[in-house]
Amino acid sequence: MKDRMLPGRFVFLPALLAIFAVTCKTTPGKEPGVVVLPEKHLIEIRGFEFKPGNLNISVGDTVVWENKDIVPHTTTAVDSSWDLSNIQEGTVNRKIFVAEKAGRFPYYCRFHPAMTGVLTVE
Amino acid sequence: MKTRSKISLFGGFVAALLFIAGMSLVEPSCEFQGEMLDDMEIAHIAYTAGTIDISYAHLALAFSENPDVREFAHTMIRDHSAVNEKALGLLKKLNATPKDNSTSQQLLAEAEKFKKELAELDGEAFDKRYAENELGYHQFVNETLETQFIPAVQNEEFKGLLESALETFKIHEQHAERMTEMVGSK
Repeated sequence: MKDRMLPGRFVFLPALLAIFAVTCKTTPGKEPGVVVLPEKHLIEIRGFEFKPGNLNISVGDTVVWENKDIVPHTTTAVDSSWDLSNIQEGTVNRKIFVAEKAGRFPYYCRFHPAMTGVLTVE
Repeated sequence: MKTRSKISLFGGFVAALLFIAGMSLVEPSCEFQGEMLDDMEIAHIAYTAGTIDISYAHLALAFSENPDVREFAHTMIRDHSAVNEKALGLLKKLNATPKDNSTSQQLLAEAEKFKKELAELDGEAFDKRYAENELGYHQFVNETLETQFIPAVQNEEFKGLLESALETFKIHEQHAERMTEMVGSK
């Protein structure tokens, strides 16, 4: 009975690895074949600042902005490629962004333009 | 019998706590323009000051076509509404009511006078006067909050809210400074 299960396992394992390889990504500049899972990064908005102000991420990573100030903010790309509007205070109002392409993306708060940050997507 | 006495002891303790919390809100602690103010009078002044700035912003949206001025006005409505809403939430939690006072009334009377003055202007003259007033108004409010109200406020939660509000209003002051330069240079 046990022997009969083996071929199934051998089929299942490569399939799993194939799915893993498709959903993961290789990081440029790192060893070939090394796969890195997408990461989730948190940027806090506190005291009218994005913290951290500069963040390096990889394509496929997720960035979450969470507002700790008592007034609403936005996170808006200078090149208009994204605009997450009206982020209210608190964890339930977090805004999420998925990096789809590499590049350097300066952004700011449309409501308080002195607030700026940079996302560098590699 | 024992349970009943425990309940009444607990009830007495809660009542004492509420009494002490209430006392700190009504104990005059700040002398401002010759008037002794308690926390609830300070709350009324702060709320009134926010409402006044919102009314100036509505006027700016009705009169101005300058995008910088309009953007600033939208921010004033959004931020002062958020701060005032937060204040109302805290007052509800503390089961307290802000108290009207002569400083609030004086602020409102001056605001009415200024709005009449503003309504007589248009174009660049309106933008310039609105921007100058926003800068002066935020400078006055921020200095009052920082040097007089915040040090005097007794209730810690209310003090924390005023500190967050001051942080917001300092950003407004900087924004107003830039707006003044922009409308002045045109």
